[in-house]
Amino acid sequence: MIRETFGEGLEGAVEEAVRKAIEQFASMGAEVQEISCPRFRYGLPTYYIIAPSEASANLARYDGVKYGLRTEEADNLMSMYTQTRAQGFGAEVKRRIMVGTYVLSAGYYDAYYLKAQKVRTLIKQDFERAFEQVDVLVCPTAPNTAFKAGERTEDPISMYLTDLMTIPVNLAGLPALSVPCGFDAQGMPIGLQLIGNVLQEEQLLQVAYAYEQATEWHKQMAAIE
Amino acid sequence: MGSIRELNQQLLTKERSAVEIAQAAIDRIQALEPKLHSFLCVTAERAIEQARQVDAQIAAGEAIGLLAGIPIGIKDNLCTKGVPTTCASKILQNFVPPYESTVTQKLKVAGAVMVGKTNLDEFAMGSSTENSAFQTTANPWDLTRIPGGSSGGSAAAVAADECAIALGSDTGGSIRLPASFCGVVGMKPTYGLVSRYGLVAYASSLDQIGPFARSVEDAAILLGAIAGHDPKDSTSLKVEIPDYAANLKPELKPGLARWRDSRNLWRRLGGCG
Repeated sequence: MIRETFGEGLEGAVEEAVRKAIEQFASMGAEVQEISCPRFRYGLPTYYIIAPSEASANLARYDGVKYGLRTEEADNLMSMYTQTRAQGFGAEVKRRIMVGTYVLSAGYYDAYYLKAQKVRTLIKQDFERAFEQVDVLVCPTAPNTAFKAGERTEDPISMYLTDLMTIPVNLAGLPALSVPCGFDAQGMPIGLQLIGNVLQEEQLLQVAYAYEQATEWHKQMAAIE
Repeated sequence: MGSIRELNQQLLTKERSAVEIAQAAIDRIQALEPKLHSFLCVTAERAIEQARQVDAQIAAGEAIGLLAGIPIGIKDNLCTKGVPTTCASKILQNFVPPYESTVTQKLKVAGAVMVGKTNLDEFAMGSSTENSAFQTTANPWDLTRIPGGSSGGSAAAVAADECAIALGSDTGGSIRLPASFCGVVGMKPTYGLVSRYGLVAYASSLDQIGPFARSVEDAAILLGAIAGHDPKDSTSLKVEIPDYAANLKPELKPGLARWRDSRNLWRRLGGCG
């Protein structure tokens, strides 16, 4: 289990369900160890530099020329580009393109993008050290359960925090899965995240399968009113 | 709807035809969509046609794979030839890809029946599917809540039994988060295990395609069908793909430590970082 994922901001019901799942693994013969990934918490800021950087480059292709939307209002090429993109992209996509373009720009590249790439390596090293001691890492998939529609749309940071536990895995390129491990008081599902070493999908699925077969959570189906 | 193995058994024993299974999925989608909004596009005609081909194979006595006739939802950032692929963005609203992504091509060959393209946060950027330019998907467990994102449509569709399995993409949690919020299994494979050819790029060093299912076994079957080296993706790994679903055991095997020597695989494979 990753110590750093059981800190502040974790909903009580999620913590309880995940700790019970860990007890379940122990009762099945797993040797449970608490592991520290001290750089885990830098995953979120690192991701929000690297991902928008790549997005700003990848999304440059939507210029109204090759495919997709093209504005009909423009009277010259530059205004066609800018108006097509202004009309075609939503607010979050624009935010990430702007962040990405900013952190890649001359003068800021070293301070942000290059630094983020270095931190990415440190996060990967945390995982490498962890996998010298254990086969599979376990933590909550998210710090909370599903929230109400509209609750976090005005506050991008609170929305980004939902991915706190999943992002470091992408930065390190590792396999991971979420498997149902309980419900909160409102009846909303809780997920258990299992993280494996590079290319250990077979082992990861085996561990998840053994847990699933020992529990009943996956048998419950949503009753849609 | 049943698990992949249950549906496969029904097909083999001729209890149900692939067309009947596909029609049942489409009927359920039509009944639930006004509340759920998990699909951006339902490909009913194409699904029935694909199912008919599976039935013809069975009638001819040909062997069929486990995924033949299984209804599947595809995240709308995976290119499907002749079927709109919008990434839930206005900028790609009318985009119909002239080519098929490697993963959907593999599923087509396996006989899986695509029932539609699922909703997402625009270009997979978001954690709630509220950033879709077209509709907000509801969480099947409580329609006033979000399904998580960005593959919220795929997670909700599987949780609501609109399809047996689905594909999503995961850049920072976009498969695992909605799987957690919707009470299903969702997996992000090792970077490079599954070809990204035909996945509309968001952040190329992080993006990876993976399965949604209602059980670990179904996720394992689907992963096995989409994994593997692809010369069309330069970051695709040249590794052998084991039969992930063949050896699943209900107990934890001792001696998992034999996997440990893989510690330095990344370096040997020349992977990222």
